[in-house]
Amino acid sequence: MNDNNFWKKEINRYLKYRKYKNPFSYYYPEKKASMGILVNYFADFIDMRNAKILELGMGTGLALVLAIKKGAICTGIDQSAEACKFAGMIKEDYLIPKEYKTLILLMKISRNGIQMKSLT
Amino acid sequence: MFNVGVIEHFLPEGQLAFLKRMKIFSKKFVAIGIPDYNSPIFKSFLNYFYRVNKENTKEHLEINVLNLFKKTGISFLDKIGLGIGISSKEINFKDPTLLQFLSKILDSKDLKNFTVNHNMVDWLIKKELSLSKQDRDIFGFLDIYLGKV
Repeated sequence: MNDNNFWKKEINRYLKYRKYKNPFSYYYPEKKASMGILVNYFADFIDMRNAKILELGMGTGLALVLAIKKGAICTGIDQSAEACKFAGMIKEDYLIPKEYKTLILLMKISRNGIQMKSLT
Repeated sequence: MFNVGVIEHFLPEGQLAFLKRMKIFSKKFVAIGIPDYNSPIFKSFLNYFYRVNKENTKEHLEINVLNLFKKTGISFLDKIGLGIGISSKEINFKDPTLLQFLSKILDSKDLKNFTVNHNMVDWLIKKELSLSKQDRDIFGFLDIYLGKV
């Protein structure tokens, strides 16, 4: 299964839960828990306030959203357009507008890793 | 700078190039999350995934993060095991080590009819953090390696 097909299926699954207040907890509770632990683990080593964090292959972008809630400024990159679309939904669902600018989503559109398309 | 579940999909030379780039662009820390191939939870989940998706392609390649850190001059700081959530449909009931571990953490919950649901996120976090480092290392779905540039 290629990346875009995988993420398309995942988006469809997520959309079913978007009517709820905390959709990610319905979509993938195990991941919500583990990403929460991961971000807290990072916070043991770095001061998250204004820390600049980059995730390569962000997928849903949930870890970045949780890091933003701790005051970090985040950028996520993924080569899949569908993953970027998904991360955009998570951004809308979990961040308040004044936090929007603290999450930048990029799509890698070249194999050599130089060209990037800004999505936000 | 970090990634989870990405680098193990690259061939060894790609893994090294990836780490080298991370080192160039990161100012302080890098974190790499890869599946723990020896984790009973990961193995059980993978069997379920292959069964459901009817595919058995080896998408996860061998990787030695400590070796990659060494080759790229990144100082290893710490490693944790992460992720213990698993539902009964994914459990390999033929694995006694896994069953023993799950019985320990699931209190009186019925292992055969157990599903992680939306109300259990905080419970899962609490359970996982209450485990010993050794248990988290053995059973955690992922291994997270933290390095300093």
